[in-house]
Amino acid sequence: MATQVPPIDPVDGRAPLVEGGHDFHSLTEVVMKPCEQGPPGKQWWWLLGTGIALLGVLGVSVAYLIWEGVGIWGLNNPVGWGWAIVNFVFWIGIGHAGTLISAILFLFRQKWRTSINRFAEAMTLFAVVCALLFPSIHVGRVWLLYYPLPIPNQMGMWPNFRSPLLWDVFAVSIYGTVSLLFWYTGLVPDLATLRDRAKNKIARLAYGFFSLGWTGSTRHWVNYERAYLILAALSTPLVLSVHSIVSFDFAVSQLPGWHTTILPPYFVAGAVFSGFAMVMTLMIIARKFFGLEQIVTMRHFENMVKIMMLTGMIVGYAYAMEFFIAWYSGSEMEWFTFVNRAFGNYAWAYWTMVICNVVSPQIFWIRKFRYNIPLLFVFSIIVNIGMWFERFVIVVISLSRDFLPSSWDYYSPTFWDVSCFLGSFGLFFTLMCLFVRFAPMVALSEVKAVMPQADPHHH
Amino acid sequence: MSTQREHGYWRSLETWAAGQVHEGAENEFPAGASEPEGLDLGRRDVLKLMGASLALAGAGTGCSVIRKPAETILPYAERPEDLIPGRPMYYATSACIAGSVTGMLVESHDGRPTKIEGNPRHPESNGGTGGFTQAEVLSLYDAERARTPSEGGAEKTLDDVREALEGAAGTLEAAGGAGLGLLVGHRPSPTFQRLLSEIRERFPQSRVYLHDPVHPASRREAAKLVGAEGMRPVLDLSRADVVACFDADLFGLEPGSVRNSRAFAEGRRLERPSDGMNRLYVAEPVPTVTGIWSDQRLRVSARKIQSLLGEVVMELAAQGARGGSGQVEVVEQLRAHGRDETLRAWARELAADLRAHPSTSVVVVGAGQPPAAQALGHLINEMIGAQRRVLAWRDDQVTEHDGGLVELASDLRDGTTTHLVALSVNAVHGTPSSLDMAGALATAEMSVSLSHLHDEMAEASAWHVPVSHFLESWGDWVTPTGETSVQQPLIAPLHSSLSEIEVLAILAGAKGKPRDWVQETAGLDDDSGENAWRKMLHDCIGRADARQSPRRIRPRWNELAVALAEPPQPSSKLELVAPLSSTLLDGRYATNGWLQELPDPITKLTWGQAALMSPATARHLGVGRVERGVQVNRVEKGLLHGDVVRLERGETWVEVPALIVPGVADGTVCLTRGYGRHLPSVEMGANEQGVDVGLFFEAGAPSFLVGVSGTPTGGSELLATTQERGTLVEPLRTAPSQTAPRVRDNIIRETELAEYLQHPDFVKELDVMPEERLHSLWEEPNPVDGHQWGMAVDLTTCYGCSACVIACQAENNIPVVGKDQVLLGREMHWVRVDRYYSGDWDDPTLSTQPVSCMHCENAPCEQVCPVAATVHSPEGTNDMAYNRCIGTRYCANNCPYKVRRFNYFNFAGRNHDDNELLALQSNPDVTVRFRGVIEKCTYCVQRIQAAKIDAKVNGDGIVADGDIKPACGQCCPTDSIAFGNLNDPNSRVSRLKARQSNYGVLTELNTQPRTTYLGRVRNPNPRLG
Repeated sequence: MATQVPPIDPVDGRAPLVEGGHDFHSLTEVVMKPCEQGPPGKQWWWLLGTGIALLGVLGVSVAYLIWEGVGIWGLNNPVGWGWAIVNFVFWIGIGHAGTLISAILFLFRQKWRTSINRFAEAMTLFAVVCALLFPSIHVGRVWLLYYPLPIPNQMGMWPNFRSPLLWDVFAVSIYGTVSLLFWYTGLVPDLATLRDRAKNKIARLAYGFFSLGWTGSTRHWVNYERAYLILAALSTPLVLSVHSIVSFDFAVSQLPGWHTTILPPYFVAGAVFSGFAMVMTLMIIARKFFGLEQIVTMRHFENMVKIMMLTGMIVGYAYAMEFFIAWYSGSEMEWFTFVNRAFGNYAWAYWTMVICNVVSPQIFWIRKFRYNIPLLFVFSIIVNIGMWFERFVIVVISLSRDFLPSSWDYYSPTFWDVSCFLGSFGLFFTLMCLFVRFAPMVALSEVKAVMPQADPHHH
Repeated sequence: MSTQREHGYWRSLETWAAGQVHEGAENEFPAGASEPEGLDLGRRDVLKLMGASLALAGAGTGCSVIRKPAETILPYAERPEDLIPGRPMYYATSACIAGSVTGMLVESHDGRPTKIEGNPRHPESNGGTGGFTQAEVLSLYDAERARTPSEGGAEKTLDDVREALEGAAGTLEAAGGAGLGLLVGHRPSPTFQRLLSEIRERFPQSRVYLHDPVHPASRREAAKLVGAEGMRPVLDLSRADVVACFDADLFGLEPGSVRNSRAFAEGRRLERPSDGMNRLYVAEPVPTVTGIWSDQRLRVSARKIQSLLGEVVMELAAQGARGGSGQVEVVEQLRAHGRDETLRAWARELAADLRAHPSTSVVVVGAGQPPAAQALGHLINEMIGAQRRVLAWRDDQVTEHDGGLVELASDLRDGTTTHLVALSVNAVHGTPSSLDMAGALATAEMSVSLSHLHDEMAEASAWHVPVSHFLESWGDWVTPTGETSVQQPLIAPLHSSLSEIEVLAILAGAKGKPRDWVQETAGLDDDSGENAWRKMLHDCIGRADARQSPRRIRPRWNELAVALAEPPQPSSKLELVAPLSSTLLDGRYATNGWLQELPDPITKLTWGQAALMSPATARHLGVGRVERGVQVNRVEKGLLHGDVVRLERGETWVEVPALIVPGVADGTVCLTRGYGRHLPSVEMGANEQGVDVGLFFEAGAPSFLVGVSGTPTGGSELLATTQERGTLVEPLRTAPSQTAPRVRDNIIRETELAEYLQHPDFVKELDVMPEERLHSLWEEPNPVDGHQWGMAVDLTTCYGCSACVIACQAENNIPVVGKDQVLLGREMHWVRVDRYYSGDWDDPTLSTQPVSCMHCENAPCEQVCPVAATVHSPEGTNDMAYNRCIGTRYCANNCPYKVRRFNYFNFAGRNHDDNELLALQSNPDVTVRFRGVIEKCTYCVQRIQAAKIDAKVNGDGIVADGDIKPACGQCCPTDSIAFGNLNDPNSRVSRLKARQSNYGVLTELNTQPRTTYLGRVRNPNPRLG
């Protein structure tokens, strides 16, 4: 492995995106190894085992929840939304990085994205699955969950199109669908590679089925490129819209602390921030386990850290601006809400958020730190904690003290709040483990396309 | 298929005997023949099986609860006259509840009483009721009620009881009834008294003992002290200009509070600013609802009340008031004790005010004060001529008796009384430990306790007989002003029980039926009285009793002067005050879930008891913690931790959690009665809850005592309050903390009379956003056709009695959630009564505001519901479609008034599981909500619909004003809640809303609430500042 100063990419004159002097074949060997050579070591089993155990916790928690009622959580009368909604927004936020990397960076021709986009898209998809879980189980009567869907019915009832929650239903389900299609479309050529290399019948049949008869003909490539471009164009506005609409749940209400116009951009920036943090956490693990150091290079991490610094500062700006507007609006109720956030009985949550999200990224002005993998790993987790607290601050603190002081209360999570949240990680990790085992976690065909060999003209 | 044996034809005995009819032989083309062999299942069977397996796999028994239970409808073969299925019947009846004779109308659905309403024709109700009356219907269906008589724990029948009582009576009759004792409470009932005197005739040697915590002997002793034995003052506050209460909860726990509060409210309606307003002075050690209503409140310890009254007497005397012979001696005696400068200024101004309103002012001294203090109150009333207009001395309706608990204990011990029959009197709980009533009862040859619960008294007695509820039995009552009212049953006794008069009748040897006795007492048992009797049953009110007419008396004060000879003993130790509980009374409502969960009007405490004390006392004892210089309760994560204190006096001690309440006198600790029950048969939370403060007090002693020491034990207990979960600091507006924004001054808007006269529109000044600046982006629907419902609440006459909370609970099938859920903040009340403090930390002013759904024209909840489960009706109400609700709770989050309640669990189901009788109480016109749905005030939409149907059937479809009264407005003792059609400019609600003092809460949000408030106006004495 070449760890010295990497050679210059002869085509675009920059450091090459793939290090280690790989050719197409050796790259294929590296990427397809986990899919073809069985479980990649003990660690994978451990991770899957943990994931399934946590998934079991989720199953028990949700079963008990449905059996007994949402009263098993710590909710009360002013605080009608607690961890479930915090977790929903948290997971939806994480689900942002994938599509951003795939679609927006694709449109901006950011070639470095190719090494991480598949992985990030998968993460997005699974995060959306986790996100969808929470609004579904947090309603009081789960068995009537189809009521918000615009299904023709004997009651002649439409859902209430004025409700932001309904917009949410549409936004999240569209986002989930498009993300799935985008991810799957990108997978097709790689699945065909796997099919072609498969050594047993089941793998050949399965990969054959999912690769949709891909032959790699020029016509296929033309259609594929076209489809990919269209889906990228479709996904791009969704990246912005889905979290904007999630933020409408809050912004459209009239609760002080929720009712602010800054929420949509603030939520999107926060989502990108947390999404990249999660990609980084997972990528550092996967890169190590699967020996992808030459494909996912330090340059990728540096780029991601830079984006996180940017979005972290946007979020920090939003925190400050909320305070400013609360004061500037002259609305004393609004001002109270923000003073209460920073200095009330939940101040610990607020300052946890500020330290994690605004203060911690500032160390990365120093280049050395951007290249320190253990530090990046810790940082990415800190950001995820901070972003979870951001949602907690918005949802819970605002609800706990609003207009009439007689109704104020305090929300404390119960065992079941915690178990549902931990359990959702079980769902996430289980899906993630299965993904890295059965599908190529690097978009092989795309990486090959950005290697110098893909552009073999001589200057 | 086996049913074919029952219904189908059979071909031969063989096939019949085989049981199973062979399909092939019966039917050539059997159903399901086309289905695979071996799976002998029809479509319906498959569905059934699927359903069953789903139920087993998924929700199991839960599912069967979710779905409507199978029920059989049996139509009447012969419909009883007047009974229309689905339409409730109303019966007038009356009872003595919490010591007050109350008239009521009881709603009955298919023979089950479901709701108690006030009776507008009854002078003690005027349409209103107190909270206890509202809760009585739950007591009828109380799961903990004793169901069968028992002797020493063995179940008996009522015939056994009769036999035993008749046997005992027969044995005792020979000796003239020597050894027979009857323990009774205050029963102003003619039939009761008649039967009792018949018993006395039959058993001349028998003895009657009187014990009633609501009517303590001190009242009678005070009357005796001033030469008015057998009399008591009855108030007519409708003419009062100045009322002064001294440790008297006149509008709360004092008997007659419903009548008195209505009359007093009439003097402060302020229909026009020029109307003027009466004034209420309250001097009390612990805040009460009367204190909330006061214009001028003095925080003073209970032991100083007598000195305060003395000051007032001296000031009045100095100002030249004359109260009759002996006054001079009294004043001399008072002077001899020296003057209390701390009280003097207040007393002087009060005296001047009383003098300024001769014959239209009155003072009331609480029954918990010693007789001498109460007699001083009588003296003041005489000095200010109260007897001329606002006060009348009437017969005190006290049962003729030979003693109280002390005499009973000694008679039992020395064998004078060997056979005791106790009629709904608990002599064991709440009585002094020195009496050891349980021990005394054990010495009796035969002891019979008639009571609602198998309680401490029943445990101590040999026999226990369940008592019939007043809705199950006949009776009659006389109001304090002398009207006879009849108590008629609405339902046959649910359990094997006897009423008090039935037990008396057994002893008296009376024959016949309870109804006949009542009719006979009324003198209407012959044919000529039939019409009058029917009218009496219809109205519940009969003619006035001549003996009860007011008598002008001339009290004497010489004995009072003697009684005052002993100077009050100063003490630096704590004072323990023990009033009755505002929710459990003397403990008789310990098993009533509605009352257990009713927040105390002052402390907002539910499901428990606490030692109330002021911040200064708490600091002195080392209780709570200091926040920004003030001693406050320890509120951690929304849970109020009461530091346990050990209160000790001599041998007696208790350990209770302390609750810091601003407004309690310094050096006073208050523990309400009614707790520390020990009910052997009861599993619910009533047991082991709090302590019995009665242990501290000698029989007949005042309800306060000095010389208690308090020490924190270091432990703490969770107190389930419904307010101050978040904090205790911020809601106080002028608290040292600045975190509470001033804007919240406009939730409750209040001013003083002088200011009000200059600015009748004072409420507008507090608007954050004046109405003309509130614009909408679109044209607001402003329906002007038909009915448009709205509500107005007059805060000037609302004093936080909380009867509306229970009335709403009874009407709307609102579940009880229990202490653990209240601690979590999940109580379900649709109306809550918010209580705020203002002013000083130590000595704040208290204000209350009932808050329920405001039915916003521009409702934030409606907009955000994804399934349109909460929508606006064309008549302006904000309706909930429970069937449509999926429980996102978004509406509750977006409600600025936080009036929406969520069924976090299947609360209603849990209640019904705990008490299968509860189903009988349920109002069939209101859906019982399952878990997972939001609920809230509907303006009693079921009543609106009923009235509209009536109007449509009987008239032009327009509901007349006053035809609809929501449960809260119906029971309101002061008629502070007006409801009606806003499109009718002459409706009461329109007229109230037209007043300048009308305002909406949080109107700056442009919610346009349909419920508005009339700003509170107080009338303090300007010279007291």
